[in-house]
Amino acid sequence: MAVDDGSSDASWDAIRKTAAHALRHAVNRGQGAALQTGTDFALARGARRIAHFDADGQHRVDDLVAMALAVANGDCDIALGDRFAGNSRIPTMRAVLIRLAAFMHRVTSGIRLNDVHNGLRVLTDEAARRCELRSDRMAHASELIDLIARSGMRVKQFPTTIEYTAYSMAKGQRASASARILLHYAVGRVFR
Amino acid sequence: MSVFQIVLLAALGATVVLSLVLASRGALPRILAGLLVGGSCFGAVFVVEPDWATRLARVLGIGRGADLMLYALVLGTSWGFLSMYMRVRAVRRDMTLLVRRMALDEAQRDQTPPGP
Repeated sequence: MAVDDGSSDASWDAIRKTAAHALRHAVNRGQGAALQTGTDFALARGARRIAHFDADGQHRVDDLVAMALAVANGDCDIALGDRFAGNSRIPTMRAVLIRLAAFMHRVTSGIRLNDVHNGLRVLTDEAARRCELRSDRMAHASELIDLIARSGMRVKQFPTTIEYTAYSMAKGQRASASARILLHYAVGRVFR
Repeated sequence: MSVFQIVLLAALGATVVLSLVLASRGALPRILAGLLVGGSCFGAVFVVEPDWATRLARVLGIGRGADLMLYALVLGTSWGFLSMYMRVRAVRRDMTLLVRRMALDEAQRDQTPPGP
C-alpha cells in the first residue's frame, strides 16, 4: 500500500495507476503520521506483518525480503535495517549524526542499535500494535526506537544498502534539520 | 496626571473590559481572564502611583520598580509563550488524527461496493 501524505505533484495519480492500496492525507502531516495511517489500514485488514519502506528509492527490495523472511520464520518480532552493515556509501556527516542518535538512544532507552534512523523495517502485527506512533514529523524514527525498546519485543538488525542518490538526499532529512528533530523529540519525551 | 498615564490607564481599562466580555461569552478561559483583570488592576495602581512599584521592589529585595516590572514581564511572556506552544501542539495533534481518520474512511469507502 502507499500513503500519499498530502502531495501537490502527480504522486496520487501515479499511485492510483498501480495495484497498491492507495490512501491519501488531505494535508501534509509528516512521515510518522503517514506510516501510522498505513499501519492502521493494514492491521484493520488483518495484516500479520507490516513493512516500512521509504518511497524515495533509497531501499532495496532484496534487503526487505530477507528481513520479512526472518520475521515470518519467528527469528525476531521486529527487523530493523542497518546501513552500516550493508554496502551503503554513507556521507560522513550523515554517518556521524546517526551514530550520535544511536548513542542518545543507548543512554535514554538502553537499546543498543547501530542504525536508528533506517526507514526499512518489518514488524509483526503485535509489534505494530504496541508501537503506535504519535509524533507526526520526522521525530517519529526516534519515537519508534523508544517504543520498540519499551515493547519488550525481540529486535534484530539486518544489513541494508542505502542508495544515496541526489533525489533521495534531497528528500531525506538534511543535517541542519537534525537539531530541530532532536528538539521535537526532546519536547515529545517531556510532554507526552 | 500625564498624557502617558492616561493612555496606559485607557489601555488597561480596555483589557479589563475585553477580558470580561470574552470570558462571559466563553471565548476566554476564566483563569486567563482573572489573570488579565488582576494584572491590569495591579498595573493601573503602579501607573497612578509609580513610587509604589519601587517600594514593593525594595520589599522584595529587587531594588528598582522598573526592574520589578521587567521581571514580571519576562515571567508573563514566558508563560504566555509556553501555553501558546502547548496549545499549538495539541491542535496539530488533533489535526493529524483528523487527517488520518479521513484517509482511512476514504479508503474504506473506495473499497465498499455501492449499496442499492
